[in-house]
Amino acid sequence: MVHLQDLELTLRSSAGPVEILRGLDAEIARGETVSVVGPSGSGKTSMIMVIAGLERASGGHVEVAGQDLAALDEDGLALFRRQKVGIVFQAFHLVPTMTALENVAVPLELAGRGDAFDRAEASLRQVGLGHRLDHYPGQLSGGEQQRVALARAFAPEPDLLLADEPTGNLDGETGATVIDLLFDLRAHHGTTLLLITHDPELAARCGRQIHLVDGRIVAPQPTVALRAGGAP
Amino acid sequence: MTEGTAVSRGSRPGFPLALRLARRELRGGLRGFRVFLACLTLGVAAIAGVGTVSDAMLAGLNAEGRSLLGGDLELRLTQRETTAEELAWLEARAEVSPSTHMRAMARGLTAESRRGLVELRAVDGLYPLYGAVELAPAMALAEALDQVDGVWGAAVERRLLRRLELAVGDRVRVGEATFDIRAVLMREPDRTAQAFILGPSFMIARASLDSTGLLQPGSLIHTHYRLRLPAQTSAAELTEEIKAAFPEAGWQIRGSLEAAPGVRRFIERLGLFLALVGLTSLLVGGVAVGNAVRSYLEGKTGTIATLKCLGAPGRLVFQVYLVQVMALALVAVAAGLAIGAAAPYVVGAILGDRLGWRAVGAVYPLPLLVAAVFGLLTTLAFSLWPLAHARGVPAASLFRDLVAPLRAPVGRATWAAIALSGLLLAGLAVATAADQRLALYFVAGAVGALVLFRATGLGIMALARRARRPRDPGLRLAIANLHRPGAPTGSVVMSLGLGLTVLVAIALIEGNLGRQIERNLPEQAPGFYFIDIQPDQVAAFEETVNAVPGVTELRRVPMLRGRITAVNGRPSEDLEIPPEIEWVFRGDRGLTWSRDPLEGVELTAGAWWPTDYAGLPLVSLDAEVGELLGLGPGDSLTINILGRSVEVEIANLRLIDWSNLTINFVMVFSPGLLESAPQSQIATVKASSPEAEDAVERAVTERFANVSAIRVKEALEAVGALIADIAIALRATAAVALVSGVLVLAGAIAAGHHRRVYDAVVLKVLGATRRDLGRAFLIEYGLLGLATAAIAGLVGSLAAWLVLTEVMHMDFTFLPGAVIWTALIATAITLLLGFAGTWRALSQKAAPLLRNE
Repeated sequence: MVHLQDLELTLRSSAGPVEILRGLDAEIARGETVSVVGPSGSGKTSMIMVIAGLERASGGHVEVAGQDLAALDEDGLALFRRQKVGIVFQAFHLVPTMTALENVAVPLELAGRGDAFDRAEASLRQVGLGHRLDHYPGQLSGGEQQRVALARAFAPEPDLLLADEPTGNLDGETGATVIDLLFDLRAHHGTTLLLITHDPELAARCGRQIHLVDGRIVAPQPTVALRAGGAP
Repeated sequence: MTEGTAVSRGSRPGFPLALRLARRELRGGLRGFRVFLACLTLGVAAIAGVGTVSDAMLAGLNAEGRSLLGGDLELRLTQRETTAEELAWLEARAEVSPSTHMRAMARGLTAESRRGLVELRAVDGLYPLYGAVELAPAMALAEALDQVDGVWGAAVERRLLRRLELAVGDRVRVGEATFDIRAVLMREPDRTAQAFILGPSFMIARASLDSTGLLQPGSLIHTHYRLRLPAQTSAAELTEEIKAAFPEAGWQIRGSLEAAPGVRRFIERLGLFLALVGLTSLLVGGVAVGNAVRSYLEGKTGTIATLKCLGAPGRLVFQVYLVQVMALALVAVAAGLAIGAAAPYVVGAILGDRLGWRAVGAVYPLPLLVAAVFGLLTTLAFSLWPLAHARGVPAASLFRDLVAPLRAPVGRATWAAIALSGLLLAGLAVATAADQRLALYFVAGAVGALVLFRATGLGIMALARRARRPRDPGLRLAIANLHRPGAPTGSVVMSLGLGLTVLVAIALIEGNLGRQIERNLPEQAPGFYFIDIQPDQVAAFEETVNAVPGVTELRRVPMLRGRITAVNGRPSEDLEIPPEIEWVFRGDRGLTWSRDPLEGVELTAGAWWPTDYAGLPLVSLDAEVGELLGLGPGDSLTINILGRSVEVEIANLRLIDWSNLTINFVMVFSPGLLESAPQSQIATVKASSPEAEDAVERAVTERFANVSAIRVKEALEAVGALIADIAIALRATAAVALVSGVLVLAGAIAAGHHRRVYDAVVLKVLGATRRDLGRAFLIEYGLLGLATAAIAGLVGSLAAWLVLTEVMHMDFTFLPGAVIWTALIATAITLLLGFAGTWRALSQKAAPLLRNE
């Protein structure tokens, strides 16, 4: 599903170029659940950005769902995300001027699906927000907002779900609920999951872990067999 | 604390604290207020500029009144000169300089040479009593006009030389006389004060006039007697003496302050129109003020909340921000006033004395003061609402974002304050207007338009909210963007709508004026008027005209000049004459007489006299004049004809269609009285082609040296040029309103930019392409622009209809072209600005924004 080869990312800053990723090699199989762990600034988010096509690699090769990302222009990358990738952020990133239902419907609408709103509604009911369809993000709690983001990410049934610290902005109990929901949905849809987290317990719920330090994978793990249930 | 007793009254924070806090807050700079400042400055500058420039022009008219009039007093006689007794009386009291004005044909010496209508000015040796004539080459006027070797001289305008293909030194014939063109007339001090000018000036010595043979009984001749008074004589007193000594003389007397009453009326009228258009741009500026204050306060919610948490009462918060808003308004007003104060100097420098007099460059405090008050009142009226919201919202809820914007009940006191500032604005607009009825219409229209545009904005949002979700995601996004909380729909519709309304109205008014001329010209209008045909020339004239192939119509009537001096025995000065028929009483009117009913006449009251009528003089009066003065058959008019007052009885009222430009008279007399008076004939001729028209003109003016040909087309071109000049002034002022509207639109788009970038990035993460986003934005702004244009088209058409039918008393024709063009412009502007504003949002890289969050 994800094939990274000698991936490099260098960003320009006012203080000069900063090397973020320094030659990553990784292989993630379809249906796998993988956590990415490492200290702050180690390049976890950047790695996910590159895989999502939100950041362009400075060097190396990135292939996701059989697609060489270097071959796509900006709009091509947008289409690629629309069809293949769902993303959940720490900061939710809901559109503040759209209701929960509209937020979830957007990717389906973009994909031109006639049943966008029915599916969005079903998706929201699945995350327990059937009663919050017409609420704006500002009228929802943090946990509810993240559940809307989950519903939005899973609604188009992506092949790959990228989650960047999905519980970072939530308290422990709410975070746990959201994570359970995330793994349930993943299992239900059979989605490949790449999850960034600081939480060792959460990392352990994934099939394997990638450790990033200073832009390098320090303890590469062998690919393990697909486990349909994801977390134990 | 619930009792409020723990806090003593003395500890209530006062206004000085508000000032201090406001000063600290203003350290943050003027960010977010650029549109506020620009729009308010523009609006105040427009009003101040229009006021100071029109004052400067009027001051110029007053300052140069004597030279414009040609004397301290002017007595004007039509179709006659003073009697010896009258002249002796006048000369005993003042220096008298007569000059005779009439229209005549000038032509080269050969039969093939070109000919043209001129305004003949026969002046005496004293002319001009005030001011100076400028000639090229420079010489004394007497030198240019005197008889040399038996040939009189003339000074003529350059455009006549161009038209006749002549040069200084050539000879030209006027009437029976030949003149030597000795100089080009560069400047006549009294030209501006003359009535409607059709041809170039042709100045000759009064002593040479007899030799032209143009002084025929009944010819259309005006003689102006300009008086220079001795230092101790008052013009007003002498005027009364003249009236008392010669009550029947029938002369029009003017003082130097009424040198050019037509020009004065025109400036006042145009000034009023421009001031109202300027006021509209200030209203648009008001919308900008409201927007800026609202978004500024939304950005200040944290500060306000903090202040409130620290114990600041709502009143203090209100004061702190009111002080800031008014301080900014003062900056904008000062800038606007500076522009307005400079305007007379700039306009004066551009115009020079092209109009015949100079605008007086000075600082005119009154229009500046009025503009300043307009600016401050507008700021107050439009900022009170958001200020009141900030005041009334409890601290905790201020932390809410867009979904729960500043929404608190607005108290009665605020409503009252808004209403009061609105009333003061309206009152000031009416009180400072020269035509209060028009200003009242404007105020009612402006209030109506504001309400309508507000309702339209809300309506669009409500419709968008209720619209069924289209399958197309771009369209859905667009429609959703129109009604999102915090969407700029309302303010864009309001501000752009007001500016466009003015443009539509002006386009329609101008188009209708132009159409009125064009539409009537080809079908009904004659090609020529021939004037000053002597009774003994009638047969020969008709024979000459009818002999030209291509002549399709010849109509001819006798014509005299006369002035209504009293109605039912009451002097016209004492009558209350409605403005639309003032012109009838303003000076001499053409009169005619007829035995038979006029062709196609439609009577609204009374009956035509019998063909063999031979009784006391009767008159058929224009129905509009009759109805507006409440006159009908049996009432009487006193008319001064050739210095004789005649009382006539109204026999009937008659409908007149002035717009077809055929011969029409306000008053048609029964035969008898006028039959024997000295008179000339006036004729209209229609010809089938331009060649035939040229042939008629040539044939008539060749045979009858005293007959003048007025080409209707040329006369209309003069009117058309005037309308075009007025339209430029109106459009320039309207452009200020539109620029303000566009600024508000740009401001609204800029204010929403951050949110749009965020939306665009999140949507891109979800797989939206730039095309998807661009299309959504295009549809959003397209819908907004079209809806605004549609309402502006409606309101503008209504305004144009009111102005044309109620103020100008003309027909209104809806011209879809003007409205459609404006609609297209509106949509294009909204699209362009909307797209320019969002293009950056589209190309925003997603990653940095997502990282920062």
